[in-house]
Amino acid sequence: MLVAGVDVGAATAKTAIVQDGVLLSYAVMPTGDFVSQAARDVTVTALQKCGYTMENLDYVCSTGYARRVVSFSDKAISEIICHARGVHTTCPDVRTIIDIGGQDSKVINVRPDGTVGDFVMNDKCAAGTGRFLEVMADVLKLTIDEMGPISLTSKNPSNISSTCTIFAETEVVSLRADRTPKEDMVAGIHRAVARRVWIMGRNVGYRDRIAFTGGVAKNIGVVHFMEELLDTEIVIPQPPQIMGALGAALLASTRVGRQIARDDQSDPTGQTYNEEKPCE
Amino acid sequence: MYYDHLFQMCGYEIEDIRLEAPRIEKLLAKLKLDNEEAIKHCEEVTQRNFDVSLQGVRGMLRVYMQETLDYSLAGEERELVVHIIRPAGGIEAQLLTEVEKGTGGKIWARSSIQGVQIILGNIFDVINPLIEIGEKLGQSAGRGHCSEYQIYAGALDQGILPVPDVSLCTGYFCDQSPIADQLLAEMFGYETIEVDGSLAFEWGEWPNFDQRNIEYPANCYKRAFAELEEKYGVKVTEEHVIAATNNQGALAMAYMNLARTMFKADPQPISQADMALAFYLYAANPIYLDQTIAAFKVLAKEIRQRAKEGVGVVPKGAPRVFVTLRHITDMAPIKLIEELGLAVPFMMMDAIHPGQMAPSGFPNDPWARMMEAYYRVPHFSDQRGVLDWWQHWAETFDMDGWIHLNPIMCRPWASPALMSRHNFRERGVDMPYLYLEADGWDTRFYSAGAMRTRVESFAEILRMRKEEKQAALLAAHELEVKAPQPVALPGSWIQAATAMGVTVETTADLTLEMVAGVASMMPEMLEALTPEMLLAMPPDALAVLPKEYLDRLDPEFQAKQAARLAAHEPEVKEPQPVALPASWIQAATAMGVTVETTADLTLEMVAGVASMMPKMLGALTPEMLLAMPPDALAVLPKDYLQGLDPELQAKLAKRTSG
Repeated sequence: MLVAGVDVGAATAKTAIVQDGVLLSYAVMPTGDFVSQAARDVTVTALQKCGYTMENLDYVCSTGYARRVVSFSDKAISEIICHARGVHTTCPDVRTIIDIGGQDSKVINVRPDGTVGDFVMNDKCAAGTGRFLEVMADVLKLTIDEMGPISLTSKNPSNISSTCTIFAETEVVSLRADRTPKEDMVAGIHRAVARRVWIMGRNVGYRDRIAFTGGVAKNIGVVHFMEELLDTEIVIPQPPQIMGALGAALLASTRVGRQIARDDQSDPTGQTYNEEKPCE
Repeated sequence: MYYDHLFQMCGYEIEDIRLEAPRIEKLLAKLKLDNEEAIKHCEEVTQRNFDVSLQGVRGMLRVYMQETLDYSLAGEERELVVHIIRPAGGIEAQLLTEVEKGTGGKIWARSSIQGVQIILGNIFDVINPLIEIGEKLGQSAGRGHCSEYQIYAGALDQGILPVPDVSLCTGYFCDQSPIADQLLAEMFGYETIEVDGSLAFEWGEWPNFDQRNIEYPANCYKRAFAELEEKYGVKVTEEHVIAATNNQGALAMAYMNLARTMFKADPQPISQADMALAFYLYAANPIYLDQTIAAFKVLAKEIRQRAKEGVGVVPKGAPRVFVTLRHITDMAPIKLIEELGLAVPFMMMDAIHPGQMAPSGFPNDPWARMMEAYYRVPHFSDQRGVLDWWQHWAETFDMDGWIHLNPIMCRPWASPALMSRHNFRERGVDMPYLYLEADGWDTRFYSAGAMRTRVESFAEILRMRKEEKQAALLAAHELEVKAPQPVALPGSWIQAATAMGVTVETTADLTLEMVAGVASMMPEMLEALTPEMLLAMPPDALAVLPKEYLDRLDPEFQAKQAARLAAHEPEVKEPQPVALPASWIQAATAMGVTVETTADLTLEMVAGVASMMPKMLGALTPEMLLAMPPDALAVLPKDYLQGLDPELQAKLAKRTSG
């Protein structure tokens, strides 16, 4: 059975192609303005990598914030459930997942069978998400990829607010005016993201081993400060951004999720909404 | 007329609409909804929020609509408008309506703000624009005290509600209310009379309060009413207080009966959005008391009918969640919870806690009794009491999880969620928990998409847990038939026991003290136990294994272990319901409640009979008493119980404690 797991996030769309439980290929690309089209494009790309086309797919399972507008999906599952399954398959001994994506962050407790024990997710606030790092990179005229390595060179990280992206931005502007070394500001920014998520996760508790997923897990600065706060080594499943998509594909044949009436003819701008019903 | 259909949805007959047409048209003009297109939208909104195929729902909407018409037009129809915003309910609100009734309609004296908001938000869909006007008037987002005051300010500004002649502004629920009220009074030019409160409850003071915390607001009320009489000639007497207390009692009884019908039904017969209409009528105390109780009665009948037919808004056997807050104008969160397959049989204040039924500390002072009854709902007094309350109901109604809807903009009710959750865990309540921030009015305070993700994930977790629980019960049945044989213990355990002067050889020799001792002093020895040994351990020894150790074990084993423990829990046989005496059935009918057997008795009902009609207890036979639900049994007066046969007393005590 050839299955696509499609995770449409705020920043990127990801697809994992799985055949009979084995990951064949994956693709990641920016979500952009046309959500459903991005989901289709990333799926076509992932399929091309393993020599298949959309017509070959037996089943599609979508997740992520735009899971309900993936017009070629058979069912939608929340990303919290999918992340747990994806990580469990890759690293079965993981009991806690920290997931930081473009617009949200989550801490998920995973049970030994890969199901979710408990979770906590950020409210409508960009502090503690990838967007926070993007805004700060923009202020400091750095690329997002440069930020992590620079943060590790600091010996004196600046103290930056972890409660609000806008406040933090003004703090960085003030620090720059005071000629604070760039590496100290960047380290302070990374520490602020890590601290925000770390505090939130204490709501559900941390149990070893701990995995870090989502696009921000590729940032070695955030990983470093998270390890420092947790006082433990964190495992990064590879590649960290596709754990939700992988989990979605692996949950295709289960009762988990809500069915979507498949509509291949829908508007490619992704504005078509398909009614859901619970999987029986 | 273009509004006929909408008002029919709200329980009006065509003749009533014709009679009320001038008033209806005035209201629609004030709301700028006096055209067909706007009313079509209102019809859609109404249908999205409520099940208007239910006659009971229509009956309740009519009461709300009538209250809205009365309030909106009070400035032009009455000689004096006396208003109270906070609290928008309780005996105090009934008290004002009693005063109004006594003046033959000359004055308007009510606390209708919540009821009006139900209509403005859920029918006319004008809440967010009013909030925005409130913001423009100086109550900006995050600094608006609460949405209720923003809406009130917006409605005054737009002339939707009349500027009162005088407002009783109270500080005994929220310390910010009198400030907001007085600022609005300055802005719109009306008089205020203050009713203060100490708000100095100690942690754990609920339900038996320091006398001063009750007497102070009670005396403030007396002083405020003296001022009202002096300045406006409106006289409020003790008789008004007693009548208000009785009205509130009748409303509570009728509402609790309705709520009980909901707890018992599976699948959940109607949406909690519909029940919100009933709740806020019970809480907000309308002047149309008889119509309200009649609508409750009709709705109870419809709920029972749906339950009988197996009709529900969620699937049968759906996980049951306890939700901590009822929203007033934003029904989307509760609709979402139900849409995602979670049953919500119980919300917020849907039952009377035994703590509320304790004898009054002020039997001879109706004013103090009024305040005591108010504060005995712990949400108005002591946060520790709220936690006790939540725990009690979550356990009593066998909930699978709880959703903490935290009203972040409400100063008295926004609770420290993380600390509350830790407190729950310390109490041993290990129930899946979901925290959601929402305001109750203002839909801009949360992201609908993020809320959906959380509720959907939570629903999956609860469904999985429920399936595991059922599988464990099935396995328990199998294990009961096939008890495991003793298994030889590891050498390390035998040696350790010998060193302590105890001889053990197999799992059958293990005692709970031994296992508990190993778990606390030498936890590493637990690692030597195999799944076969664990399953062959005596159930009492198995029960003391540490949770963190069990959590690490294979899930299949965990299910078997749970099953083995479940198999050894003593089976409790529930007595069969017994028909009630005719005097009880007649008395209940007179109060708008239908009862037939002991199974229909609620603690509120029994407590009500015990306090108001104690002679009726004499009609109960031993069989009836033994068949009564334990919570109802628990509120029978001590002196009555002491007069019963000692053997029966012992049986009843066992049933209550069990």
